[in-house]
Amino acid sequence: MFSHNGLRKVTGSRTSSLAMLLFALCVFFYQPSCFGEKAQTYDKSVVMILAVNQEYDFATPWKKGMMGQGVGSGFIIDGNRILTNAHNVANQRYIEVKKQNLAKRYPAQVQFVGHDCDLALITVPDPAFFTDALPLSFGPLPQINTTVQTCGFPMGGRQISITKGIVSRLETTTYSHSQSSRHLVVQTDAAINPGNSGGPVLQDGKVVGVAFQGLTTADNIGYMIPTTVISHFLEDVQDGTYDGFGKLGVSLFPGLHSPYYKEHLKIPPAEDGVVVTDIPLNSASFGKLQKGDVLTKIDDFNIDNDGRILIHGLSLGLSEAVDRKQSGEKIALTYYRNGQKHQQELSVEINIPVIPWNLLYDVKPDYRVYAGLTFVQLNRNFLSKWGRSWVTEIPFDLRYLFFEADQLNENPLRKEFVVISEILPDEVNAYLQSYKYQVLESVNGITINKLADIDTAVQTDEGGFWIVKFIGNELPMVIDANKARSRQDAIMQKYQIPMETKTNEKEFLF
Amino acid sequence: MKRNFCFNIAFLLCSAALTHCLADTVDLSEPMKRSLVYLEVSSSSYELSQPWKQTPIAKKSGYGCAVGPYEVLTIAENIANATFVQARRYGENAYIAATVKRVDYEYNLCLLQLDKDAMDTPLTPLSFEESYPEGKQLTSYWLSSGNHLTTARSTLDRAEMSRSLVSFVNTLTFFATNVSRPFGDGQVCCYEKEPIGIAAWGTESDAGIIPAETINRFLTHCKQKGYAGFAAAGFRTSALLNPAMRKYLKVPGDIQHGVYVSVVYTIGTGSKELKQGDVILSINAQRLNAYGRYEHPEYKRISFRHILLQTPSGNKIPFEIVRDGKITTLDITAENIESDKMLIPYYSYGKQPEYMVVGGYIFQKLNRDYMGMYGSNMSGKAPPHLYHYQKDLAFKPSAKREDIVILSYVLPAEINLGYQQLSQLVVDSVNGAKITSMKHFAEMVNSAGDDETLKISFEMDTPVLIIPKEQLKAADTQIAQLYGITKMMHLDK
Repeated sequence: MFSHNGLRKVTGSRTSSLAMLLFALCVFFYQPSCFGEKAQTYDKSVVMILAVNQEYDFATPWKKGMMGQGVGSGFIIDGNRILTNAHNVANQRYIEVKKQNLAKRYPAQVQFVGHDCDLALITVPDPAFFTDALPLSFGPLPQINTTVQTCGFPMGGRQISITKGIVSRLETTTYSHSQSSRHLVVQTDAAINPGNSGGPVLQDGKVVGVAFQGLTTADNIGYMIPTTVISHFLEDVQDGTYDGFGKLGVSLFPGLHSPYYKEHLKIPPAEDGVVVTDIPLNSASFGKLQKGDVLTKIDDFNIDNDGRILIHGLSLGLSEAVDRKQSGEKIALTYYRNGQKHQQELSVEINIPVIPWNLLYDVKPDYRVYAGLTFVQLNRNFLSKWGRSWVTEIPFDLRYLFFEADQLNENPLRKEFVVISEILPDEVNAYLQSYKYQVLESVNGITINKLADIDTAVQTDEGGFWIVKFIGNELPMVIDANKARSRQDAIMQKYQIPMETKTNEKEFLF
Repeated sequence: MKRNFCFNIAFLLCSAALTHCLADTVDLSEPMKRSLVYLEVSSSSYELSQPWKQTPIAKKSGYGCAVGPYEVLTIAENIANATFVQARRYGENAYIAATVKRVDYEYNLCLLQLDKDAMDTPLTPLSFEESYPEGKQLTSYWLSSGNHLTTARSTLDRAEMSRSLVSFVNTLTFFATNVSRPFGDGQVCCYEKEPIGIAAWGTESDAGIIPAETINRFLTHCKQKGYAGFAAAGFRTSALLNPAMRKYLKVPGDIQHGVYVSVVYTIGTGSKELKQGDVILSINAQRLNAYGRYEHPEYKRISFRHILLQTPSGNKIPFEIVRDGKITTLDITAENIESDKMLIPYYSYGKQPEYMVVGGYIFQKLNRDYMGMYGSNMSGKAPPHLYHYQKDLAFKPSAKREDIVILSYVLPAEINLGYQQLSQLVVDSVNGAKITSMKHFAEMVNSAGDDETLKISFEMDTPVLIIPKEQLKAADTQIAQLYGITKMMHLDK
């Protein structure tokens, strides 16, 4: 199920004064012993990041969303770069960076942002900023039950705040920024609070993680992004673009606990593994793996019956083996099919789902308006329109499609689902209100596989009508094509919709 | 002369007002004592996810009135899931056992037969007057649990087709407002001296009344041999307001009325004859407007479902439709919808759910009661694939799919190791055969040889369930003991 799991991002916000009160105790409670010799050096490495952001409106995209301002932390690494969390600079319009002992604020620019791993690289154009900087370097994955320090600006403030704790455990969990990507995290009991986001977590003077989220429903559970994920990000951007983390693109079921299922799948008793139950269209494994295949090994890691592998000295989900690869890299799979052992190399690919489950940032949503009907992509951001309990509040047809799109979509050409997000009242759509939130199947017999297909479709008509068919609804929508065309300009003017030609610079962003 | 005339008119008006005023305050308390009964109903249903268990017995009150010397009329809701019904008369302490003679959940009416031997004197039957005194004051009568003859006042506001609380059909309901005290469990509602209906539901301010026309039709059909029920729509309509849509459907330009057929079911009136995209112009010569309502002489504009509900199953009803731009008349056979025939039964009062426990896996027939587990926001909380069947396909059973069989839960045991977290899955096939019904499922499971394995596959992204038949007997005995399952299977006869 799709739940927040009580995760919270830890960006400070000037607007959340209530939250500041609640966290105030944590902010000022520190032990003097935390100020070791190295504390002095951090003021040349750890910086405060102030960002102004503006959200996009995914239902009526020509309108701009809410403005906000956030405070977070970041730290200088080699090459005059500053590493921070993606959520500190998501949807940014303007960024400033500030050092502890300097009043001056430096305007900064985003170089790369990885919303799926919640990391971003920013830089300051003014070289003076880096003159006395001490770039931090990275350490390995920290051992459980060792001490770590966090540095940053929890709840804002002027001074770097340092907290200390131990590494509680390493596990794979959902990164709350994207609400869907899952990667390795290090859990610590060092206090991590709003504003700590993007700050380094240090051990022996080296960065072993980036503080990024905590659990609201628990005490002293803070998370940092480990260096395995950080190095993946830094390596990824070396070619000048950020691609993101790839996936195998299969559904797996830990079914080999059943000796009968194991026998049915003709797996030798000594072998462990997981069963492939589905391969969505266009995923990396599509056409390569089959339903009923049993994965037993990924690269050199044996897969156990829970689908876990022994990696970094820990038992983690097999996705950890995939997370080590850059997109396009090969990964070796050993699997059984009909009792025969096979091996295959798959290339790790960025999965582009027909309905993005990841929250999208820094992407200007595309839209079309015809006959006053607003068409947009069906994605997680659009569904956020229903608020916090969107999962249970969205119209059923959208919910069914969102959760079961892999199963329900049998069209390999489909790039996205297009939904009517808003109806701008006009005489041409006076009787069409009931079609709001319906998902398009076709217009004038032309299947709508992506938003731009509508442009082609509305050039045609069926006997003077636009006939729009919807998914899961037998009732077609009929529009007088000539009337719609003649009303187009008036509607665009009345509702102040810019008539720019839209181009999608990127097909998909994390 | 002129003055004299005026005086006469004034006198007439005055006397009319006086008699009217008197009529409104007619008190039938005394005669009603011989006709009304208080009903005490014990009821119990089955646990939704453990269908071998009955729920604790609940007791509820209901009200009835005599329609024969030993026959009592009440609403069907009162006796839904009833295990025992008993009645009490005015001024008597003894309970009289009652049995259900006929129940029609679509009409929400029930005819009870009282035990003659337990009664010294017969009841005085009431007869219901088919009238619709809109805007007039009604008095409702009932015999309370404390054996008091109780009354309530209300005003008859309007007549509407509205969803019955116990079924999927819309029934003719008189809406009463300004109720002086809440009533809604079978109380007799009278205008002046005449009973005109019985109360089906009530709130603090309103009440819904089943009118005499429905009651009398029900009682007439109860006397006849066999009771086939009344027509229910085998299709869904949408308002046809959009002029572009009318043109596209080639509805002749001079025709401004007619309603659009948006979905056609596989059961019910018109399911065989109508097509999605038809425009219904009239039913039984009554012209339908764009919302599907017709002009009734008394009830004003009322849904076409009223015409259907009056037509006994098997009768022909002429439908005038536009199809492909041509006006034709179809003689459509009236057909009622039995809940049991639905793909997802709307109700199954008093019936044990069909289920089968195999190796700790609970398989059962999906019905609306089961979906009720997810509460009032079912569409937001139920697994979407299950809810999709209820929302889109409940009225579309076919020979290939009479029931939806689901794996509801797994009772953990050694035999189902590895599968224990499975739940809410729709069964697709058993040993390669597509499952058509719960009975078919049970047949497939039982017919497999002792040395075979059962391979059960499910819809959507799911694993295949493997159950070794040879281990099943021992495992089932153990599971039955462990979890206290008294009956491993129940199928309707």
